[in-house]
Amino acid sequence: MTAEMRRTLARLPYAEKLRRVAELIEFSRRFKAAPVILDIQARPAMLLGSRAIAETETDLS
Amino acid sequence: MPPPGIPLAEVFAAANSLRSAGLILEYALGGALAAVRYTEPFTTYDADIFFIPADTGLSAGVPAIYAHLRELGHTVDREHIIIGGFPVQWLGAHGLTEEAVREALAIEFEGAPGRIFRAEHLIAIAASVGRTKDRARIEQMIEQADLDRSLLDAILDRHHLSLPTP
Repeated sequence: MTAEMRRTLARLPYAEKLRRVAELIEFSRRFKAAPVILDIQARPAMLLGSRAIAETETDLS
Repeated sequence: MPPPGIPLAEVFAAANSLRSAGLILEYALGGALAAVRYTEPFTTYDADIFFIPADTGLSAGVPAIYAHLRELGHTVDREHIIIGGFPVQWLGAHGLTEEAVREALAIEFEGAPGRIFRAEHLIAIAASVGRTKDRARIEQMIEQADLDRSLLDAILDRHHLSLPTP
């Protein structure tokens, strides 16, 4: 955002600016509340893959 | 559904009620929510109301102030009073902040009369606190607000303050 754009925002009516503050608060709360999405579908495959490698490479004879 | 707005009219109504009840002599909105009047919008999670207490004792009449606000239907959450779902801090003014309250601008917000710190006082108060975010606030206000530079200089001089060097 350019300095000129910021100055334009600074000249908005106070009520409009407070409305935008409320939107920013709502956005920040939703962002903080968003669940952490784990790549759980990849994890079992990774584990199986590691185990498979271990079984083929382990020679207990 | 739009997000709930900032209930500044309700905050002003509560402050006006305290003044009418004789619990405070005067008040004004300070802090970040006041700064937004002069700059681009930014996130802030509470309102700061500075007041000149009617009770000059050690408690500054804070227990009576909180009791009055509870009677108005507002709730207490640690150091905040929750007004219209929005946290409000009530801060006794002295020195520079008392001057800021006395010289605050009278405004009207959604039909409610209120008072708000001048931009020049907000800058001086930020200079007196001096945290990183205060320096950022000063820079933002100097860049974006329409300032009375002679008024700002007089306030800074009177309180032996200076602006941080960029």
